[in-house]
Amino acid sequence: MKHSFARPLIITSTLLVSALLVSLPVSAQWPFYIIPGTPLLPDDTVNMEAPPPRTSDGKIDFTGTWNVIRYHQSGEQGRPVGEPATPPPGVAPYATFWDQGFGFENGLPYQLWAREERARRMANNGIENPDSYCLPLGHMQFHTHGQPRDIVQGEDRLAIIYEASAGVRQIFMDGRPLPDDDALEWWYGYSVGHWEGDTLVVETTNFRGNGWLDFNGSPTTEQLRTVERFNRPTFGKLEIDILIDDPGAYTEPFSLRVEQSLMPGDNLIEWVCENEQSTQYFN
Amino acid sequence: MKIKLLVLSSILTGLLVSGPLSAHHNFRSEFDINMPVIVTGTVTRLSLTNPHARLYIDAVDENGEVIHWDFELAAASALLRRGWKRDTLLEGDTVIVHAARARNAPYVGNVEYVTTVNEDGSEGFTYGSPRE
Repeated sequence: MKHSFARPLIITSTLLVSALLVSLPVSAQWPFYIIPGTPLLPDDTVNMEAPPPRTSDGKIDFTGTWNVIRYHQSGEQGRPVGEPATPPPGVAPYATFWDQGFGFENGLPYQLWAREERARRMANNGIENPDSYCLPLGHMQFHTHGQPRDIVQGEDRLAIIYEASAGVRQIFMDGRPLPDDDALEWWYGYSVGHWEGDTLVVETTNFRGNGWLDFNGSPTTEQLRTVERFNRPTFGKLEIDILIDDPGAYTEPFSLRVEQSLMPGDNLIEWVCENEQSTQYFN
Repeated sequence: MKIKLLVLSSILTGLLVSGPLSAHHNFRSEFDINMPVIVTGTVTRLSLTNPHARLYIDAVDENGEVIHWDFELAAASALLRRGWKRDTLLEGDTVIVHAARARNAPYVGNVEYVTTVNEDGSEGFTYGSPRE
């Protein structure tokens, strides 16, 4: 299979542009490039509802630079406030960067120790969050982070490059099994994927313990297993439904929905973490 | 014209759909929103680094002493997507910094926005630094 380079990109509506032009300084700082083949409408905007691109063998092509869609109202530092957004029927609550339990009536189903650990982390102002020390944030913080991520899709593997923390995650789609229990544990776990129709299903195990599902510090353990279902219903939209199964920290599995929007013409900006300038002032 | 429109569309789309732009660490772990400070001074250096850019300015306090302030900004990448450039603030520029003070360091703060001051003393442009 050859990879299709005819990656269509999405351009948002000019309505949104005109609404904000008057109030924001705008200047492209990173080389901007529209990939040939981008389907533009007569008014120079892209058809947001156009079908998703496909590879030469007909698979959905997830390649692109993606930005998380935030449906909730935001308080300080983007904390979700107010009522959670209602997902479509049959869809799990939306994930939020700060609080993955925000969309659940009673929060996440923590085990007692996990609830206490989250409270301790919050009381400590989250300074133990791996991100504070330029360490990988964990999949759910990466999925919902405000900095974009690139998906680079090849024939037998898919890489997700996160601008945040300059993270790199690889998903093997060559039929290999998950590693056995003796394998090492990793910040990003070990991910294998397979196709179910147009859905890429990714199962991940072998996570390190002491993880953070969200900025508030919902913990994960080495027993964490995730199943992510990636869909690209249109050119401009990515949907990820994630099953979180961690019997070490939660009383039952639960699911979350993440949605992301393509960033047309944009790319990741180099990210080298130099947080020693800030950590000296932590308390 | 088309490309310019695409650039604008892209950047603004990013702003609209984005989640937290630079929530690298908890603001509260370092700063106190209830300790605002406004500092007028001279830029000595703008460091466009990640996960936080830094702005260093010298300001004269009420005793006539020069105070070296160290301000945290949003991530360089977040600033760039908001229109900052490497020459947005240059050494010697006079600026008015609106910030929240650090809780354990006297002359450190987190910037909310910076306003430039023209040679005639009038205020110039204002540049925001997203805390989200």
